[in-house]
Order: sequence, then structure tokens, then C-alpha cells
Amino acid sequence: MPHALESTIQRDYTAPDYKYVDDPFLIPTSNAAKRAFALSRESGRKAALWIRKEHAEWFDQKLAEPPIKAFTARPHITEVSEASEDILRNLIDEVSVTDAITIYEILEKKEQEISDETKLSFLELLSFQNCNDPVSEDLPEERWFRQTTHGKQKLRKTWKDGSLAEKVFETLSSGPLAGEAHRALIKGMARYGQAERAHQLFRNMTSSSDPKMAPDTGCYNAVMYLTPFLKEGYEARWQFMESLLREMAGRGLKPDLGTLNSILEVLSNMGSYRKAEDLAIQTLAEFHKLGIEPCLASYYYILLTFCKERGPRSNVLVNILDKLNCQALVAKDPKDVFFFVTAMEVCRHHLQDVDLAHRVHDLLTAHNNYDLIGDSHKESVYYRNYFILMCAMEPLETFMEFYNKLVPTVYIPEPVVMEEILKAIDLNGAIEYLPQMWSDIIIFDQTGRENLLTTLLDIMARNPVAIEDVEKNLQMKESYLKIAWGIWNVVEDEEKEGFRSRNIIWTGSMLGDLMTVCLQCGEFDKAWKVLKRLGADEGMSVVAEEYEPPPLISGIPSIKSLSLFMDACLKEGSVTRGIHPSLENVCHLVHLLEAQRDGSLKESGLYGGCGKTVKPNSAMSCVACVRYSAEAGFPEAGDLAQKLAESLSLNSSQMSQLTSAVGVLRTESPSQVDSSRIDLGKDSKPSES
Amino acid sequence: MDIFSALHKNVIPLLFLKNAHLRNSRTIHLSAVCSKSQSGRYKITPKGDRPLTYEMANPPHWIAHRKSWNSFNTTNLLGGLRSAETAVEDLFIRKFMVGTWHNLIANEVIIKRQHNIIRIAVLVRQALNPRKMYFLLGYTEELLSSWLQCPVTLELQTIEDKNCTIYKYI
Repeated sequence: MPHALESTIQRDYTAPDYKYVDDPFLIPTSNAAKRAFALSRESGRKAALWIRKEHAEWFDQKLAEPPIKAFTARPHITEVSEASEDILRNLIDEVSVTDAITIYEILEKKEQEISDETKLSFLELLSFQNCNDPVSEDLPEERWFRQTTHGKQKLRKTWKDGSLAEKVFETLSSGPLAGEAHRALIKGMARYGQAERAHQLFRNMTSSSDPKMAPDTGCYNAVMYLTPFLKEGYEARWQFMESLLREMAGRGLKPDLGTLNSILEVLSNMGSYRKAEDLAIQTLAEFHKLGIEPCLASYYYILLTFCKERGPRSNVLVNILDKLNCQALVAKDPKDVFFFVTAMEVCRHHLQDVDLAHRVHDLLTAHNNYDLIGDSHKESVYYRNYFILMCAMEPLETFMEFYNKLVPTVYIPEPVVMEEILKAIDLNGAIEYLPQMWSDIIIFDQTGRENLLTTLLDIMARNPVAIEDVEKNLQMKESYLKIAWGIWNVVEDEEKEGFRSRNIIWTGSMLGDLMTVCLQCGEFDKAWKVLKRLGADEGMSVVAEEYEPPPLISGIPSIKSLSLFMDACLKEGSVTRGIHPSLENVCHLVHLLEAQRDGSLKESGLYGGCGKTVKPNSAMSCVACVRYSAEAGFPEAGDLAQKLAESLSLNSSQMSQLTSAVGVLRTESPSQVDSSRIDLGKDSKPSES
Repeated sequence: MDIFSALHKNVIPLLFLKNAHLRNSRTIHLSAVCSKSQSGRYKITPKGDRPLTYEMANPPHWIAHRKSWNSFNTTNLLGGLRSAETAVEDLFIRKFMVGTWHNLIANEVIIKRQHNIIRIAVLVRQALNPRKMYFLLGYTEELLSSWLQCPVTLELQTIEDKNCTIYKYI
């Protein structure tokens, strides 16, 4: 029972995990940083442990009485170390496999007698660990961040054939401890997927008449666990297990939780077997009669059995949660840690039930149940599913409340989750959350994700700021601009630095959206900059030969953003700049429509005509551009041309080009229309030709 | 000839001649000048440009009033154990910290002992990548705890610039 005082303390969601230093500089803000910081700390500890091991002579002081083992240097064991059975037994107790093997080999070489009991415990150690050193219990971070094999991954054979374990087994197999040795080896082989030999040894045991050689429940569990390796076909597998269970009953062996879990695991792997679900339920009932209650691992297998990806919907999770009912859970099986992550996955993919997801989360946060979340990978998958589900099903306000509670101290959303959140914001038109999301994207180091930037720009372009409160409206516009220009800087910087591998490449629609946002916020200069970026800087290509033109931008901006620019441009031009610059902008713009369409900027003869420097014939080429844009298939080109003609004073030939491009223009000077066909297409060629 | 040498040459022998009985007795020297304590106090510079941290700015008699101890332990209380060992260990910890966190520590190393736990609090400059800092953190904790045979925790606080710690100039 936890202490009364202790139970009053709950997780502080505003502080980082205890393993991190609570200092702004040292608090990790991205998933990568979380991992790096925790593992760095542990690697520092490992360095210190290495020093302690290499220079044991510096650590010989005896301060504590009785001596504390954890703080004293362990003797460094080499092939010339002193060896005795006691030392071996100590090493076995400490689970240091490699050292124990070294000592055992020294003892063998010296032909020193080792008692059978010690050999047996040595064999048990080797079988359990497959002759490998386990990751130390003292290195929690390494265990937490280790990439564990996923639960659904099938058991592979990793058992080391012909290893020391088998040699030790041979020395024991004919002695008085043969039964124990058999059991140890069978369980070890089963654990590491050596099915055939485990089964063979098991059959040796069952056929032996010696009562000492009788297999125990653990052996039966191990062999049942191996069923998929031993039998083909679902029916055969089940019959095999049933026969084993009958054998157990015949021997008077009582099954345990391991038996239940072995059976359920095999059933959960039976794919489309119709009877699997019924059999699982029957097994549970049978074990309930025996007084064996399922643990989380059993429920995990049940979920796998019932909630198949393409199977019918099953509400088994509801029943499981009713049964568990927020009680304090205890780990009973290594697979217990798979329950929560799978339950959340079922909530999201199988049931799409957010209320059930809340119930799972309540169970997880009750008592000390959070210990059963497993490792960092399972935790993030759990939260990923929970977040995406909530994002889709809950009102956005509720979701954001939850988001603010858990992010970033407990969980930092992956880019996939961020995109879902952005989409939800878009759906709700809740643009007030955008500044927060953008700052989170920066903090979580996700600015390198093209999909996030594209989505953000798209949302901003489609949801212009329209808040009634003037002050708030201004504020929001400012934040919009900050986001838009932040994105611009991110992409431009990336391009400059030239990280080819993770380069974000501008697309036409991205730039179009960016331009729209700038225009909506009244930043004409920035929009003009974006437009220049869209069309590449053709002025320079004329000047220097070695100049490498920036990569072409794929795709075209929407006509909406372009015509928006045209409007702004005409307005801007007539108000502040006089006709020329704006005219030039327009021609550039319309030109762009064309050039983007056929993708070759340099070839276009027109292109040199309208640049960033104002040229005398800019109006002319502008008109031609409108024509080309029309040819390129934008029906709106006509409107653009109309606007152009109404706003600027064009000479007759320009007018004629416009007219030929888009048909008859309703202008005040019909006389100009007559001469329209004279210099059609003479000073510029369409790039398609 | 300044006044002190004059005193030495002329006055003091006279004193002894006059009071001959004093020559054979032990006298306690209690002049005001020599009893002046110096440790933990800093001299004012002519230009007034010597930077002091808060800790330096308060002389030792302000401990427990305006500032706190640098070592917290109970060894010097009545019935306290290992007072000498603790003092030497603290010295060792300070040397170790300053050497390991080279050129990073911006103030005194504070050592707090409670039961069998030693907590070491320091201000660290942000001159190192946080990852490296975490490495040093784990390294220091593990190595010190194997030497001192008890759990050691570091309580770090970082500062952008060493000048943040300046309290005043004298």
C-alpha cells in the first residue's frame, strides 16, 4: 500500500520528467532531444563505471560498514583470474553471464570439480539469457529507449546452437539432476525459438519412465508456446495444444497463468481461424473455474484475437475495461506492457470510440499503472493514437486543453499528429490556435517537414483573418505574417545551406499561398518578393554566364492568388508608385502564369522582356503575357487583361495584343481594337512553339 | 625611518627595561590590527572595479543572516560523526567539480548532506552543449558516488553569462 502522504502527490504536468534537470537550458523540447539527453546522462554514468572497472585500485576505500556492493568496484575478470566455485556461484547470482562463462572455462581447464547444483544454476542462467549479457538493471534509460521487438513480430529462432549451454547440459543430462537440466534447456530453447530440439527433448522426457524426468508445468507452457513452429494448420495446432493439456491433466499438473497466456498467444496468431474467438473465450472460462485470473498479457492476446484489422467490430475491450475497473495493476507477464498500446490502437482503428479511449487512459493513470506503459516507443505510439483519435472526435477546445496539459512534458507529438491537429484546426476554422501550433512546430524541431509547412500555408491562405475586434484582428494578422515569413525564412535558409538530403523545395502552390497570406495582411513588398521567387530572377541570367539559375518551381500557384496580387498591384501602383513598377509587376505576374505552365523560363523569348528593372516595352510584353496566359488555358486571363486595360493606359499595339489574346475587350477606345491584328506575336514567341 | 621601525628600535627595548618582570612571562598579543579577520573579505580596489558575487559580497558574519553555508551537514553539532572526514571529502568534491566542469562553474560549490545523500548545487555557464552537460552530469554523479559510497545528486542551474552572477563592484 502506498503511504497516505505519497498518494497526495501526483504527476506534475508542468515540469519535465525527473530524469531531466529542471532548468530552461537543460529541458529537452523535442523527441530527439529527450532521447539524446537521457542517453547522454547514462553514457556519462557508463564512462564512470568503465573508469571504476579499469582502475579498481583507485576505488578501494572502505567507508561503508557493511560494504555496499553497488558502490564497490567489481573485480575485473580475465582468463588469468582466480577461479573457484564460490566465485562462479556469486557471478551467477549477479547475472553477469560473460564473467561466469570465463570463470567456468578456467575451472574446466584446471579440471576442477564443480558440483552439479552449481552447474545446474549455471545452465539455467545460460538458457535464460541465451549466453548473452542482459542490459543492466542499473541502466534504466537504455532499457527505456531500446528498440524492442514489436509485440506483433513473430518469434524468430535466436537460440545459439552448440553453445556452452548445450555443453553444460550434456555433462548434466545423465546425472541425478537430468530432469532439472532438461527442463531448464527446454524453457531456454522455447524462449529463443529453437522449436524442434525443444520438442525433441520434451518428448524424451514424456517417454521416460523415470519420475524425475517428468516435465513440469513450465515445460508444457514452453512447448505450447512453440505450437506454431511445430504444427501446420490451425486445426492441428489446437488439437496439439488440447492433447498437451490432457497430458498435463493425466500427470496431475496444475496449469498456471503461463499456460493460459501460451494458449491465448497461439490463438491470437491464428489469423482468420473462425473458431479462435470461441476457443479463447472457452479457455478463459475454463481457467476461471480453476481460479486462474487473466493478466494484462492475456487481455492483450484477447484483443489481438478479437479486433482484427479487417474483421468484424468487436466490443471485447469494453468488457475487459469493465473487468479491470480502474484497479491497481501488477506486472505478471513480460507481455503485460503491450496491453495499453494495443488497447489504444483498438480504440482508434477498430472502434473509433473516444469515450473508450478515455477509459483506457483513466486506467493507465490510476494508481501506479503507468509503470506498465512499457518503453518510450510504446508510450509514443499510445499517445499518437490517443491524440489522433481525440483530435478527430472531440471538440477542438477539449482537445487543446488536453494538448496543453500533456505537451511537451509528457509527450511531444510527432509530425503525423501535428498534421492531424492542423487539419482539425482547419476544419473548425479555429485560426486562433495557429500561432501556438507554429511556435510548437519550431520548438519541437519539425520545421523541416514539408507537409507541415504546406498545410500551414494552405490553411492560412484559405482562412483569412476576419475578427470583428479591430485590435485582435490586427494582432492576428501580425501573427499570420510572422508564421508566413517564418516559413519563408526556413525554406530559404535551407536552400542557402544546401542540405540536399532534407531540402524543402518550394512548390508553386506553397508560394501562391504564401503570397496570398502576405497580401491579405497588407504586405505588398513581401508578396512581390515571393512573386519574384516564383519566377526566378531572370535579370541575372542575362548578366553572368556562370550564374546558375535557381531550381525551377514545380506546379503553379492558383489563379486566385495571382489575381489577388494583380488587384493589390494595381491598387498599390496607382496609389503610391505611379504606373511603371506596378505595370512591370503585372507583366511579370501574367508572364509567370504562362511560364509556370510550360515550365521553361529561360527559353521564353518574352522572359527577358520583363524583369525587375523597368523596361520601356514592359507594358508591351505584359500584354503579350496576358495572351500567353490565355493560351496556357487560364480562363481568368481574360479578366486579368480586362482589368489591365482598364487600369493602365496602353498604346495601340499593346491593346491589340491583349485583344488577340483574350478576344474583344470592352474598352473606352474602340478604335484601338481595329489595329489589333497588325503586330500580333511579332516581338515575342510562345514558348510552346 | 618610519614609525614602526622606530618603535621597534627604541620604544620596545625601553619597555622591557622598564618592566623587567614582563620579560619572563608569556603575554597575549591582542593588538587591534592583528586580530582583524581577513578570510572571506575582499579589499576595495582604487578604481572600484572588482566584481563580487552575492556570496563574496557578504562577509562570513552574515552567514545565516544574509547568505547561507557552502557546506550543509551536521557533523559539527554535538554528537556529530566524521567531522574531519567530511571536511576533507567536501574539499575533494569541490576540487573534483571544478576540474570536471572545467571553466564552467560560476559560483561556490554548495554541498548539502542529508542522511546518506549528498546534493551538490552549482551554477554552470551555458558554454557547453546540453548533451555534453548531461554526460558530465551522469559521469560526476556516478564517479563521486562510487568514491563517497553514497548516492550523489547534482543540482544544476545554468546561466548565460558569468557576469550574471556579479552582485556589485568594489
